[in-house]
Amino acid sequence: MEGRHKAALELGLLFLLVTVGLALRHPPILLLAVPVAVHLTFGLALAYEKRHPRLSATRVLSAQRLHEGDEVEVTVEVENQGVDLEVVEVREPLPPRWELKAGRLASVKPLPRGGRMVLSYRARVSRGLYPLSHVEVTVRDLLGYTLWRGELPCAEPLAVLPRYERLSGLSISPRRTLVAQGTVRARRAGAGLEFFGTREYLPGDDVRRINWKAYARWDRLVITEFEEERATEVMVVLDVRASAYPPKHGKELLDRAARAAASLCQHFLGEGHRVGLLLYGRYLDFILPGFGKRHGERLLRMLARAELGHTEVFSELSQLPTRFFPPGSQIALVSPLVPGDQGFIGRLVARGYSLFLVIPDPLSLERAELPHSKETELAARILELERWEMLRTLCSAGVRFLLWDTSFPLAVQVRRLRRGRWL
Amino acid sequence: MALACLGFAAALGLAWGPLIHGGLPGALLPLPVLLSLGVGLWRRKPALVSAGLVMLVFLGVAGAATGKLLPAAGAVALGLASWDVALLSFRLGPAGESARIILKAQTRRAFWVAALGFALCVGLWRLRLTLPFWGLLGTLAGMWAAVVLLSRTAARLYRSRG
Repeated sequence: MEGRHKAALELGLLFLLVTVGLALRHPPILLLAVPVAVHLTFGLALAYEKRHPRLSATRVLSAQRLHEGDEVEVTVEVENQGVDLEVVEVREPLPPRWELKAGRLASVKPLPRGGRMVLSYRARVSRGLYPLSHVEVTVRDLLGYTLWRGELPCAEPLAVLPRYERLSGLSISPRRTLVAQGTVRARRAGAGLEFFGTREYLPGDDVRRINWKAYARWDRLVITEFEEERATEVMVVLDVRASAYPPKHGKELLDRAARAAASLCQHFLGEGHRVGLLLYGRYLDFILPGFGKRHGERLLRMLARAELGHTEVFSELSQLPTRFFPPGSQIALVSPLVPGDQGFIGRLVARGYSLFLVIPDPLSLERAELPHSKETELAARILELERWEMLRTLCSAGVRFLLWDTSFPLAVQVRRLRRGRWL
Repeated sequence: MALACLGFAAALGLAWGPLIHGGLPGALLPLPVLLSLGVGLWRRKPALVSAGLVMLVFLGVAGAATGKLLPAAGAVALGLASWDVALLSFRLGPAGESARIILKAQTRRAFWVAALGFALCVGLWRLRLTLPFWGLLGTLAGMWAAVVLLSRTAARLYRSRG
């Protein structure tokens, strides 16, 4: 009951009292309209100049680039550039999944001309790109006849990037390599560290590469050759199809999948490969393969804005645009998978792609929150069996995959791969 | 909030005073007002408090109909001031330093405006005027015109620009 509604109610009362007073020709009833009329008239008159306040807002952030789980300090300052305002309420809309740690998100106080109002808080942030574009302000007079609601612009963008782990021991061996040096064995002799073979010495060969033991044995000069190590193109694909994620914990699982994708991107970039990124599901959002730190930052920002979505076109993995990756190149797919995906993945491998699959396990996330009961255990067992059946198909197709129990760090489970143990 | 409760209680007492000897109907009249105001203030529902105010004014009208204007006008003025205080209290929530300053200023203004209305009402009641028939008719027409002018001016000045 504010603003127009309040005035309308009083005006209605006023009409009623005057009408009843006149109809009954009873002066005391007519006079009862006087306090209402005075209240309404003075209220409106005193509130008149507060109708259109002139306010401006500025926002200061403690950092503009953070990783998920970090804390940010936000200070919003609202300045009054117009007339004295009697009641000013400033409210900061906290982005979803942010957790307030200290401070307040709303404040009410009178704001004289030239006065400032400061709202400051500390919050734990979650993955995403936040424009932090405005602050909500409500201005009213003391008796509540005028009400002005607005959003004051004070944009200060904040990028909350996925936290990534340093992976070690994750080796790839795609058929297709680039000319640049890297860590992928190119299956040809050249500059490298791993033994590739021997051949007869030819004039012009580096004498330091002469294999003296072979010379002693065969009495002719033999050269040791090393396997060339080259860089390659890696396309990291993050599955953002809503159907692949559990309805209740979909966002949490996507956060973890984005962390896995970020870890893979940073790992492959660190090894000197050209890395691209494709978000598959809601729409096709991609960055073509590239090198360097700036490229790594672009990949992280793209992962920060990854959200779950659904379109009929991309509801199945079979619509994955393979023209982004030349045959023989390396694909790193991060997806919880849905039944039916295994067929397409098998076909990709058959077409010569080298595929590495990280499967964030939705069961590990959901099981932790469900009560322990016979029914829960049975349901989990059935789902596990379905998943194992799918994984068995992938195994038989020769796909390298990692079923990631998200309650443990990815790096630990990748280290297990190095020891030759899969799953 | 306590001030609003006290104000409404006093207003209800004043409005009900002239009707207290009206038998069972007179005794039952304040019950809906009490219920509406009580629940509205307790559950912080502005609509219920506003409904309670309207019923309180009607109770005042019933009192004024018996010829006792002073308590009825007091009830209406006090009811309006308490209504203002209650609505702002709902909005401000828990009392902080700033909220206390606002509430103090608002209470002062609400009771000042209510007192002015009450004084004007009583002053007009005390005023003894002899009006010829056409003068009375003109005064009534003037009052109507003033109410219509007030509503139209308010609608024009306070219309939304968005």
